[in-house]
Order: sequence, then structure tokens, then C-alpha cells
Amino acid sequence: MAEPKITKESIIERAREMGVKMTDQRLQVLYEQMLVITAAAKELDSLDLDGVGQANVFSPVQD
Amino acid sequence: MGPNALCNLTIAQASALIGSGDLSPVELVDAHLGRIAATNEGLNTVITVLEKEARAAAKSAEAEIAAGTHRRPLHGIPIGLKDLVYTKNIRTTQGSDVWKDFVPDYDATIVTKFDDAGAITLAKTHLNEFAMGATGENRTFGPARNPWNTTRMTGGSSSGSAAGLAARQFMGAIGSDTGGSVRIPASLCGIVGLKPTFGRVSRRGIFPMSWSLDTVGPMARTVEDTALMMNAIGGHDPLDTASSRHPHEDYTSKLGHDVKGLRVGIPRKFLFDVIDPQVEAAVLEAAKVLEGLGAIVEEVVIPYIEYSRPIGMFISNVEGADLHRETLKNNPESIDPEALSRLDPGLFITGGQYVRAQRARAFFNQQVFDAMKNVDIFLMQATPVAATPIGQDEIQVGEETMQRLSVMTHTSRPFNLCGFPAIVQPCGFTSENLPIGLQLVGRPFEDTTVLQIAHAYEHATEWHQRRPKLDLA
Repeated sequence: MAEPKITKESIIERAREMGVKMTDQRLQVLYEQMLVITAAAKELDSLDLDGVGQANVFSPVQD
Repeated sequence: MGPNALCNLTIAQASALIGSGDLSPVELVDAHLGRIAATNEGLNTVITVLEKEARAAAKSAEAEIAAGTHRRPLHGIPIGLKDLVYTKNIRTTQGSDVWKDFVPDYDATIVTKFDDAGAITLAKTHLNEFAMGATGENRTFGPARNPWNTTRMTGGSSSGSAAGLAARQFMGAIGSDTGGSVRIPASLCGIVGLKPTFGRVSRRGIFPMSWSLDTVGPMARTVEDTALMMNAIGGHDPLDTASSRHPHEDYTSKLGHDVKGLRVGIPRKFLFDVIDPQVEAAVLEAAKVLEGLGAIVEEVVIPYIEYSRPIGMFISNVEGADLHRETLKNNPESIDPEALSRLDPGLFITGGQYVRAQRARAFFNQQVFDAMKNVDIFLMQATPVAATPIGQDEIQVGEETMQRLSVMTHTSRPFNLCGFPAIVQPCGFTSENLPIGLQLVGRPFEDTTVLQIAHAYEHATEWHQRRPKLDLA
């Protein structure tokens, strides 16, 4: 799964779209966390999940 | 019996004395309120003491029992509730400055169940802000302190429940566990904590952290007391969408059964990569104790266990961020910086990444299930190290320096993903006299087997009988 490259600029842009206030300090911490997230996403991409559904599945409302 | 002796009783012992008329709930509650008064300034384990309410409930219990109605075994027993458990007309802070004056207008389901059982809530206990953290440190309420060494952290997030039990401030307590928050402080404070199978205890009225991971569990000083508490709070709740319809059972039913022929698997891969040598020695010695009781101990492999870390990160970050979405957008400075650093990425993780993590979780859960087909339980360390100094963000484990959260959740988080039952109990002490925790993990809905094996181990050892030296001035 190709994910957009994480940059501080891309975080600022998305934060603006969501209406999230972003200070320099918050941005720096978040940027470092997003690098970790990106690496973790690559780890999960390496799994062969063919035929595997989600762990959280929909269930209709019942009595 | 003096107040110190009363505070050292187990729930089972106190219940028997109450039943025989040799102990009044009023005496028992008095003794524990006295213990809180004597120790809370130093330990900071209790956020709100419910003195007036508890004394009134104790008098009522005394009258009821004298009139012939003893709702054993919890009737008249003082307990503590993590301060994210909703209590009607009693403030419930979630450990947060923003919520510090919040007063719920209803009781959590487990509070109603404790009331029905006659338990007496003495205290709303300390926690990490919004239960986010494994330390027991809190910028609004200050750090909880470990009774074994007050310069050391309690572990978290159910910090006050664990440390208060170790300090004999109450006889049983409730914690919640999303990545280890019952088990980590239980390990560091030397008490027993159970994360039941996901869905066995209602979460209605428990402030959430991550819907698909949150689990409520009992904490006590013995395995038997833990089982007695599960009997009171377990069972289906139609008001919790994740509540299991699996039949409620007697969690004490296998206590005292021997463990001959039961199979104990030690999953060394990944889980034992991060471990202090003293902890490893104590845990392997615990395996030998079980072997000596007739269990069959063998090494097992849980394939893909290392993926538990990224899977858990995606799921808890996204679910937590959605819970706090408005605060993250409009009032982020009101959130503890450590919690903020964990919540913020959840706003930026894509839908595709979250779904991928939930699919990886299904795959992972199957691996754990398959690895357990030939054993009854997994045995491992509850935490890789004993309690570290308050405020120390990095921990040295062997030759590696690691972030505290990664270290503390190393062996707990995987079993939140799969929802299997897991118990923590003391299995030794370090050379600095700090407790070492053992974790036993069972098959889903086989909580009674986990309790059985933990009980057998407890009865073969004396670690649970050690008490911290407290300054009771």
C-alpha cells in the first residue's frame, strides 16, 4: 500500500484541513511520531494478508 | 484484632470472620480508612476518599448481616475503584485536569454489581491521565509512589489500585487494561491482577481509551480474592456492545485443583529479547516450581509475535484520537504532553492503515491461538524489569536503552490484541527488594484455568505474603 511521504509541510497542510492547531513543538513531536508510524506501516505491508478479514467485524443489532 | 492486622487480611479471610460474627464491616472499613489516612500523603494512591459514604455503607452492612442477611463473600469488604469508573454523584476525574470536577449521573455496571454484592467503595484511585501511560505519573495529581520504594514508579495506568493494595489501603480494586494497565502496576507493586478474556466484564460506565482493546479487570493480593471479585463483576451486559454472551461461571471452581499434566509453554521468541537477568531467573524458576507440581513445561513459538507492536500502535492511536478528537483540535494544551504525543498520530493515520492493522490483528490472533493448541498456558515475565525511578523516561535493559513505554508493554500488549485472559502475580524480588511479576496467559474463556495454575503456584511459594515496610506515622 503506497502511502504519501511524511513531511512537516504535509502534516501542517493536513492539520489545517482538519482544523487542528499546530505549534512548532507539537509539530516536531508529531513529525517524529509519524516517522515511527510510517516505518510500522511498512512492517504491516510486509505481511501476506490474502484472505484475511478485519478483526473488528460488523454485527447487526440484535435483541 | 488491631487495625494493622485487619488490613493484612485477605478478602476470603475477612469474609469468613464477618460470617462468623467475629468481625464487623464497620471495624474493617475504619481500619482501612485509617490506613489511607496514614499513607496517602506519602504514596498518593487515592484521588478521592469516600469516607462518609463508606462509613454509612459499613453501618448498613453491619445491620443487614446482624439481621441474618450476609451476601458473602464481598459483603462489607472495602474496595478501590480506578478513577475512570463512573460513580453516580461522586466525581470521576479520569486523572485529567479538564475532567477533575466531572460528576457522573449514573453508576458503571460493575459498580452496580459491587453494590449488589455488598462491597464498600472506599476510594477512587490514582491513574495516568485518561489511562494513557504505564507509569503512574500524572501532571495534575502528581505521581503515585510505589510502597516498596517511594522513589520508584508504581506502573500504570491502574497505579493507585495496585499500589493501594500493596499498602493495604483496601482489600480489592478495579483496574482497566488496554495495553497492560492492570498487569504492569500489578507486577511492579507485587500484587495479583487479572485481565479477563475480552468481553467478560462490562465496560459500561468505564471511560474508554480504545474500544477494541479496553478490558476491565480485578486486582487483589491473592488469586482467590481475584477470583471472588470476578464472580461479582463478570457476566453479560446488554448495555456494552462488546460484552460476551459466554455463560458466566464460578471463577473459583478450579482453585485447589492440581496442575499435574497441564502443559505450560514458554514463548521465548521476541518476548524474552527484552528482559533483566534477575527477572528472567525468577520467571524460569517459577516454571520449575510448576514443573515440580506436575505440569509439563516446554518452549513454544508464537509466530509473528513481533508484529504485535505495530498492530497495537495503529489501533490504539486511532481509536484514542477519535475519542479525544475535539480536545485535540481545540484544546490540546489541556492534555498531558505524553498522552498528546500518543494521540496526535491517530489523527493522521489513514483509514487504509487502520484497516490493514485490523486485518493484521486477525492474522496475528490466529497465530497466537494456533500456538496455544498444544499448551494450556503461556508463561513469561509480566514486565521485563522491576520498578524504575519516577520520571526516568529511558530504561537500560541489558545493553539496550529503550523508551519506558516500549519496555513496560513488551509482554502485555500482545494479549490485548487477541483478548486472551492473562494474570500477573509476584514470583520473586530483585536484589533491591522490588517485586518481580509472572504472567500466565490462557485460552479465550478459559479464565478458570489461568486462575487454577496461578493459585497452584501461589500456594507453592511465599512471594505473595511479603509486605512492603510502610511509614505509618
